[in-house]
Amino acid sequence: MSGNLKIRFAADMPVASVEVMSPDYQTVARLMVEPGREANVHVPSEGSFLRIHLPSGKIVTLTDERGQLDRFVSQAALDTAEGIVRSPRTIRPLPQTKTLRRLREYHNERADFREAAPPDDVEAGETVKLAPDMMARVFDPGNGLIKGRVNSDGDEATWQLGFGNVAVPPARLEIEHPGGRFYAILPANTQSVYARADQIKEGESLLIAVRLATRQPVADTILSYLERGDVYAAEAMVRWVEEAHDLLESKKSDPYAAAVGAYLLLRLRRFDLLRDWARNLANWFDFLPDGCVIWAWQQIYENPSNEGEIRRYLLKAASRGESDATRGLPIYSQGLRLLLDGLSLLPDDLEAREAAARLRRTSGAILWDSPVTAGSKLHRSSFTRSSPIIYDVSFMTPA
Amino acid sequence: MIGVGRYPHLNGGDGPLAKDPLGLSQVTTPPITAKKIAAWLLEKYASANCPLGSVELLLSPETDIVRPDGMQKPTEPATFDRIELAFNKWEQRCSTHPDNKALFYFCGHGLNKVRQFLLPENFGDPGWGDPFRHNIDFDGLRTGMWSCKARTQIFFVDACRETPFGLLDQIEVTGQSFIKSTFSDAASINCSAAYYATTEGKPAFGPENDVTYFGQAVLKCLNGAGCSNAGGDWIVDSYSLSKALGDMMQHFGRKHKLALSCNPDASGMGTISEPAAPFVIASIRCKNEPEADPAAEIVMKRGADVRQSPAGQDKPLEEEVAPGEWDIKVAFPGGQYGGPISKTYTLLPPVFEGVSVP
Repeated sequence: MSGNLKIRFAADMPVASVEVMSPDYQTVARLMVEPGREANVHVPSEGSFLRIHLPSGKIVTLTDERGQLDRFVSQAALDTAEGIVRSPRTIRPLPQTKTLRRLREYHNERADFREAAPPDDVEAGETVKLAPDMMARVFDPGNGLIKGRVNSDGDEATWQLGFGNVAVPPARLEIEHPGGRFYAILPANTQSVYARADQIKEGESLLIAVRLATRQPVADTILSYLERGDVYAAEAMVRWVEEAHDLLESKKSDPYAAAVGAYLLLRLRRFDLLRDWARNLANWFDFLPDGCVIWAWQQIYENPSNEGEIRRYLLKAASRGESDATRGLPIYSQGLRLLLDGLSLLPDDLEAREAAARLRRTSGAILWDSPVTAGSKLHRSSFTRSSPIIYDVSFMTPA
Repeated sequence: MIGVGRYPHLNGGDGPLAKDPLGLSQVTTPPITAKKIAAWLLEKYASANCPLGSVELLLSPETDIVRPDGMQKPTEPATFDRIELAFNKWEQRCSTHPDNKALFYFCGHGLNKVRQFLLPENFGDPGWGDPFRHNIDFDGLRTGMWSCKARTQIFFVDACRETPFGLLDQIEVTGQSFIKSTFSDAASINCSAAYYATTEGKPAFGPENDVTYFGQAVLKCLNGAGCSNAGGDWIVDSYSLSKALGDMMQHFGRKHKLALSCNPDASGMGTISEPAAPFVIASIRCKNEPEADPAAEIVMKRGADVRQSPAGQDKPLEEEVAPGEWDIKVAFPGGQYGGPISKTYTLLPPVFEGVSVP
């Protein structure tokens, strides 16, 4: 029998996309539910069940409450569904031989448990030694250095950011190693960031992992979904995007989070919701090239004959980093891709070609599967490493 | 479909060595992979409204392919000029109708700096003044394809990343895109989706003389593991494939103990294929304690369909099964890990990895 299904999230749940499925495995609806809140959806049958798309990429299927039109989702319910008996949340120590899978579990546990550095980590100064031959630093928006903390094994460094006003230029993480330098742009709404260097079994590679958490867990979740290709789950978050943009209009909010929402709407081609917020982002926040990129692309889709405006905003986005290219890059990697793609549509425009060449020259090799713009510059003459270095940049996402 | 494994001017090649081979060598997997993808198109691709129109296949080294009608056809080598010619013919055919679907698959060496470059067979010819003269600028190609009339465009970049990440930073890499577009063209495309294998190093590319891991993941997904069901039909679309490919690559990574991943970039939703039936890859083992695997007897059952792995057999029990509710029972006949545990799970595409025992 059809009815109105109520889905309630416990306070211990992360914000997540919920896929409502009919008994014959059709997707009925996808909706966003926040911790401690509820959502309602009309279903064709009380036998409908739920799939919770967690920010970590795990999908948990909940079938136990089929037949009821009031479903309560909690961490305990997720654990029961998976047959997990979970001891009080803790971070299990890593084994001597590390694998990619085990490290992913570690990152989920750490995100689940805490964002800040463990209490027994020690002050490590402005340049943190991450490994015998690896130094890590975080630059604040004013290019000053932020002191970090390091764990007892000396392989994980954490920084607390938490700038009072997030309407400021981004921060930046840099890791120097004998062969070169890795960087990741950090949105100014980043609360904390940590970096780890681990030798892993797979290919005997060195894995450098970076995890960040911003003040906007919904924005982090949206980018996590998109990073994993779960566009449908991200689409369920559109309701939040509308709220974020309303706040932006009142200049009370967070331009970085607003940019994430705008990227989602651009990808979904929801120009009815995007309206002219991207232009506001572009004009109000000089340090955020992403606003210019999104507005240019919105024009490409909606008003392609407006070539002058499109060109102006693409070049504006590309010019922001003329003095220090990595600082002026779009904060989010999809913005860099859109910027380069947009400039490539002006092949006969000398200024556009030069801007694109400059971006290519100075950004290094880009880590395209990172949600924030991140890349690596190697010093070829000194490069001796025989096994690969793998970089893994993502948001802290609870399991 | 392009599969390049023979590179005469790279390490191990039979031609004059490139001035800078960039650490690249011969690869066995790409022609096998591209041939398999082409075979899938010819034999298994299904779409009610968009049947298969044509396949252009270039392989290096070139081999014959057998068509569904039994005719044996030779392929052409994947040199730059041949690729360009085939591309132009393909694009013209794609442009004959806006409801056409353009599908592009490249397997071979790639250079990834800020842009993605694909290397044809004759890359690095020392006779050229510019070593990158005959690279393919994939990003340019993808954006250039917006001028093609086909409104659904799907690209797979299965590129071997043997050159260490970041090494190209010192080198200005260029390439050719074959086709250009304008702002107006971009607005007319409903779906432009690119899926990139992002694995580093040759071992992570694929097993010798077999299909690449990414190619295997693509085939599994297109065959039914990449389906979603909205509206009563199981279809593989650009969004469902985005998620499924990533999950599948992670599954292969765990299975083969390699760092495997995929970077999807789907803009707009487009239907890709309508497989005969969806399926789920069920991979069942003792997740909580892998040491218990040898002692475990695993049985999964759905009606009369029973799959099992007795104690002593290698785990995980891995089966391709229909979506739905499956009873999964794990017992330890030797009694080492307690009594049997039985639970019903709802398995949905692409991958189910269970169970949390003992």
